[in-house]
Amino acid sequence: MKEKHSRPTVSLQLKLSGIFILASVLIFIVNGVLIIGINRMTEEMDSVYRDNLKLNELAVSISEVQNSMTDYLNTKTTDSLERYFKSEQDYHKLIAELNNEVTGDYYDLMEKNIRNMSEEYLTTTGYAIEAKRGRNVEKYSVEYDKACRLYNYINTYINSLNNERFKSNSSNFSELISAFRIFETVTFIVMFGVVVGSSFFVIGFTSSLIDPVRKLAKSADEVAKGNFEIETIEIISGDEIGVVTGAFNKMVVSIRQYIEQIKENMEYERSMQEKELRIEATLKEAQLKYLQTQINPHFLFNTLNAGAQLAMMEEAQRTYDYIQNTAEFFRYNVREGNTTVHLADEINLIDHYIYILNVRFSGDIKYEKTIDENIVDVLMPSMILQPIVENSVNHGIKEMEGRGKISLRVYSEDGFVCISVKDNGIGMSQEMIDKVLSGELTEEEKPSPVGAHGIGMDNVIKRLRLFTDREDSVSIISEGEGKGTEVIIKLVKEE
Amino acid sequence: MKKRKRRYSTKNILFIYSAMILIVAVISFAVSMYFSGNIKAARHAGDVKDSQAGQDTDVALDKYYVMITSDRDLDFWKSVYEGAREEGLKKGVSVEMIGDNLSESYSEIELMEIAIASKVDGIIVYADESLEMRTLIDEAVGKGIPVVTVYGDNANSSRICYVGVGSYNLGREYGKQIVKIARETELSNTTASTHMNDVIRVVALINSYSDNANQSLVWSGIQSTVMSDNNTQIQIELTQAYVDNRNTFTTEESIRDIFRSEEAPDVIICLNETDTNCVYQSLVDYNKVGKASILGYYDSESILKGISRNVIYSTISVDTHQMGVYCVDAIKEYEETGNISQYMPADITLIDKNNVSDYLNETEEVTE
Repeated sequence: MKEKHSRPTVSLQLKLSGIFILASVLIFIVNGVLIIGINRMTEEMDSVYRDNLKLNELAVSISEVQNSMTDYLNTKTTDSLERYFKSEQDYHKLIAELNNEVTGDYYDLMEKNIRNMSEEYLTTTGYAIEAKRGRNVEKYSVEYDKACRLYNYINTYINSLNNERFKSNSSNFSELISAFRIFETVTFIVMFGVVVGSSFFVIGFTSSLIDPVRKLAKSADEVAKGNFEIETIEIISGDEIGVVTGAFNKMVVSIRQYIEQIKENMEYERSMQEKELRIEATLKEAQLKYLQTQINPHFLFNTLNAGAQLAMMEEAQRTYDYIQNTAEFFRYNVREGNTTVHLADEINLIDHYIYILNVRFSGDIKYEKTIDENIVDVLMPSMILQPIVENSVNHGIKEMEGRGKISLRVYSEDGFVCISVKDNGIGMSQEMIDKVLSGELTEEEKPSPVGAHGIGMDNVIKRLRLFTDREDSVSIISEGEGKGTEVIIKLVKEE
Repeated sequence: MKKRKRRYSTKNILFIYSAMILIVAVISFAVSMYFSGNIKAARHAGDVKDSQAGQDTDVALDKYYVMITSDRDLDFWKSVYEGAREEGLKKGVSVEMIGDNLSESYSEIELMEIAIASKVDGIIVYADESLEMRTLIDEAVGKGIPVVTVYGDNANSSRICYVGVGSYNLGREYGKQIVKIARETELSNTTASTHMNDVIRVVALINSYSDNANQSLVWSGIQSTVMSDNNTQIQIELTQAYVDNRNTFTTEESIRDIFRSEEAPDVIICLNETDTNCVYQSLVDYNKVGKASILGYYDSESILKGISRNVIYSTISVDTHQMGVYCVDAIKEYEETGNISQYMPADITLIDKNNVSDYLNETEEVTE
């Protein structure tokens, strides 16, 4: 947190423009200084010949003074007089710039001489003009002669000085040139150094800017590949990149947290489901175990067989028959792996069952069967008819004490094999029928499975529907309370 | 590593960058300063070379004297000028040999006019006795410019001082040399026991166009010395020969005329450097070495060589340097006191083959 405060908050734009502006400023300064240097040199070079120029100007100017004076002395025109005064003034100005100090330099001394002589000359010409105006012929010709002499001297001086200067300047000029060449070389080296140094620093600076971006990109790439286990990126600066890096770090951490949470949730849900399933399975297992402990059909079947043989040895025909029927009934139940049976087997089982019931209830149940023997080969799930019959016995005719009647019919209809089990018992309401057919009976409404073999109507209906793939494979018909119930099963006739 | 990297971040880079800018600016400024200094030096290098007048003195220059002579190229005048210049530098005076740098060559008269018009602070002039010169000297003095004549005087002018050789003394020195030659001739006559020569013809070269009192003083000096000192049997004939020195080449022609004449002189007296050189050359050319003796003037290198080769008998050396010094001193003193003695003589020395080696070495050293 402390670091965050001390971090400079300079924006990326400012940084980038800053570095480029600085680089430009650097180059500008160097250029400027070098240009100043070059300028100075050029000035020096100029000044080499400036003196000559000045002297030439001087020569031109004094000749104008001389000419105009001569002209005036010749012609006495006002025009020439004006020219004289003007040129005299110009010349005055020019000589005022000349050196007037005593120095050790001969050129300076020559300048001084030119200046002094020129002053004398101008005075003389002034006298000459004055004398001419005053018509003092003798005087003006004397002054004119003197002026001419001075004019010659001055000219000689100017020319000589010009020459001498030119001579020394020419020799200086070559030295100047060579110095200039060296300066050029040094300039070039300095510029080159600046460019190299500047590039080095710009590269260094930009890479210091780009580095975090590069790291960020690398991390982002890792994240994109699905690896969230990356180190957090260090935030170096407070600029936009720093902000983005910070956000990225937070994002990665958040995503990691979310994934963790989702994983936990899923784990919890799965364990819950597992638990539920386990409870159910154990329940089923318990039920199975329970049922198994209740009945050991093989044992029972063998026992019954032994009983039947015993009855035969004692010549008790009815007991033998009874036990034989009972044994047959259980044998059917204990056969293994045969979930699909022929209709005939089912009918046989009903026969055995009815026989047993009649023995038990001493012939109370009247049993009729009308079978079309041509179609009893049709296949059907086992243990279908017996529960239906049991149901009819239990709910239909048990309490009718001798008047109960069950009729079984097997016939063909519309290409189907129809099996009808009809009783004349208490019947069912339509509501009840619907509930049974849709399997919506509550546990209380269901008849206790413990009574018979534990297979309820809903089981039968489900199995039949699964077997035939048809919803209408089972139908229940009852015309109301006390009017009996008919269960009709439709099976597809085999070709 | 990370920590290191951290150290290079924005603030530091900015700092380094600014430092770099500063350094580069300083470097380039230094470079440009150095070179502009260099160039300035180069620009004025020639000037310093040409203006021998020194920036090498501590005294600020505030006066400007000019020296006027038409024979500026002679060693004699160069030496005088050198003396004046050096003395001037000591006293804060810039002395110029006027006309030296001019494209035209002007006469002393013209140079005087220039100097006066240029309002110089003092004039040192090799004057003659002409009226023009007198007028100009008077004009200059009238305008407050002190004029010193050197080596040649204009006695009637208002010049403040004459610095020169005592011409009469000079004449006497020449006279002594003539007598010495006479004695040597007498001696050789007696040893050879044949009278080869009873008469020595002496010719003094007189410049016809720079006529001034000096030459006549010299002449009378010679005459009186020869008259009084010659106690030999040898008769000495003194004559003057006029040398036309109006322009550059006439001197030489005049001298050759003398040698072409029937009777060549035995002794030739030269009163200036040019004459001495011309006579020396003519003697060699006309094969008269050993037959005629030259009494020369001044101690230029060629004259000294002439002595060491026995072509020139002897020469009178004037302390030219001292003359220059005296000139400047005279004007300076006049400026300060308003008073100055009218005549300042420079030392003269006789150089013959006995002592020529001293001077030869000296000049050689100097030229070196």
